Amino acid sequence: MRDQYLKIMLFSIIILALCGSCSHRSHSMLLQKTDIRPILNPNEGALKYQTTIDLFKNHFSGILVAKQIDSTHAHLLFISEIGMKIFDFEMTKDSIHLVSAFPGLESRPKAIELLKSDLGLIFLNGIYNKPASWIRDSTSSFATIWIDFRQRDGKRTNIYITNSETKRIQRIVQKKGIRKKIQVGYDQKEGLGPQSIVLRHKGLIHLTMMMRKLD
Amino acid sequence: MLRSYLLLAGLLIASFAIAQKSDYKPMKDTTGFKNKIDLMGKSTNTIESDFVQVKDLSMMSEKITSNGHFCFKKENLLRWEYTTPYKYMIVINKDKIVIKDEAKTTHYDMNSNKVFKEINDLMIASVQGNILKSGKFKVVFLESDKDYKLELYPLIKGMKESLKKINMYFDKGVTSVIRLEMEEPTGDSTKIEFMNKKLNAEIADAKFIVK
Repeated sequence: MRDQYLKIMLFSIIILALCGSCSHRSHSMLLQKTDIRPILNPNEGALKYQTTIDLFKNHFSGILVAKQIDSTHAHLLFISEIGMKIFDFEMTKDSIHLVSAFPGLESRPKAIELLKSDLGLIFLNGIYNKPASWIRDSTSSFATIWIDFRQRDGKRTNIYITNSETKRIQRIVQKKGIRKKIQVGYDQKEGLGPQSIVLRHKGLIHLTMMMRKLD
Repeated sequence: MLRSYLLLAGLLIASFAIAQKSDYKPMKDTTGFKNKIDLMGKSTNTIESDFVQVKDLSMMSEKITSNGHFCFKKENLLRWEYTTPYKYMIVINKDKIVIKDEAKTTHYDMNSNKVFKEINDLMIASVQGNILKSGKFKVVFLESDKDYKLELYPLIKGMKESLKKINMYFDKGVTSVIRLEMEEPTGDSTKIEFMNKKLNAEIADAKFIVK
C-alpha cells in the first residue's frame, strides 16, 4: 500500500515537473540595466542601512553606506554606530576590492573574501553585459510577472528574480549544483533603494546580514 | 577580540564633539588648567546630556547624523545611548559592559577581558576629562578667548592606525568636556556636540542596569 502511494506521488511529481517546463520558455540574452535596475546609480545619493552581520559566533552591528561615486566606481563602507570605520570596499564594473579594514579584520582574509562576495551579490556587482537566460512565468496568478535571470559564475548559478514592471530586484538565489547556497531577499517600495535586505547562507557557512534602510 | 578592538576605538570616538573654528594659541597656564581638571573630576558626581553625533565621510561627501543621550555616575556607571535614526546602547556598570543593538544584547565581564578594562578606563576618563592622565596620548594644550582645547595624539600602536588626533574642548570655567572631535588618517571625522547638560543631578542606579 505504501509503495503504491509512493509510486503515485512520484508519478505526480514527474507530471507536474513536465507541465511546469512546458509553461516556461528559456531565452538567452545579454543582461542589461533595463532588465534589472541597478541598486546604486551615479546621480543618486548614498543609501544608508542599519546593518547587523552575524558571522559564525561574531555579531557586528553598524551603518552600511553604499554610494555610486561615478559611472564606474561605488563604495560600500561599514562603520560602527559610534563612528568607527570597520571596512571599505570599492566596487568597479566587474570587481570588488578591499580599500581598508579595521586592523583586527584585515588579518582575517577569509572573512574579507566572504564579505566581499556577499556584498557584491547584494549590490549586483558585475552582472551586466553578461550572458544570461530568462524565464517568464506566464502561469503566475499575480499581476506581477516574475522573471528569473540565470548566470554562470564559476560553478555557481545566480538566479535573479525581478518585478517585471519596476525591474527592481526582489530575490537572489545562489546555487552550487542543486543546493541553495545563499538567498538574498529585498523589500522594494517606492523611492531610492530597497527598504530592507536580508542575506542568508545555507549550509556550513553561518553568515547572515540584515539591513534596514535609514531615512 | 575583533569586536573588542572595534568597541575600544569606537568608544573613544563616542566621547568626542564638535570643534568651533577659533584661533587657538598655546595655553599659558597649563598647571592651573590641570588643577581645574582635577577639581572638575572631584566635584562631578553625575553628568547627564543629550548629544548629536556627526560622522563626516569625506570621500563620499556624506554625513551621518545621529542623536542620543548619555548618563554618567561616579564611580563607574555609564550609559551611552543612540536613539535616532537607530537604537544602540552601551552600558558600563562597574565590572560589566552591556551592548545592545537592534538585534542583540550582549553582556561582557570586564575582568575577563583586558580590552574591555581598557575601554572602561578610557571611556570614564574621557567623560570626566582626565584622559590626559592616562599616558596613552601626547597632549598639546591650547586656548582661545572662548574655550580650552586639548589635542590628543595617540601613542598606542593599533590606535595610531585608525586615529590621527582627538580634539577635546572645555569651557573657560572647566566644568565639563563640552565638545570633542576625532580625526582619522583618511580625512574622515566624527564630531559630537553635547547639549542640555546637567551636572550633579540625581540619576537612579536603575539607569545602568540592562537585562
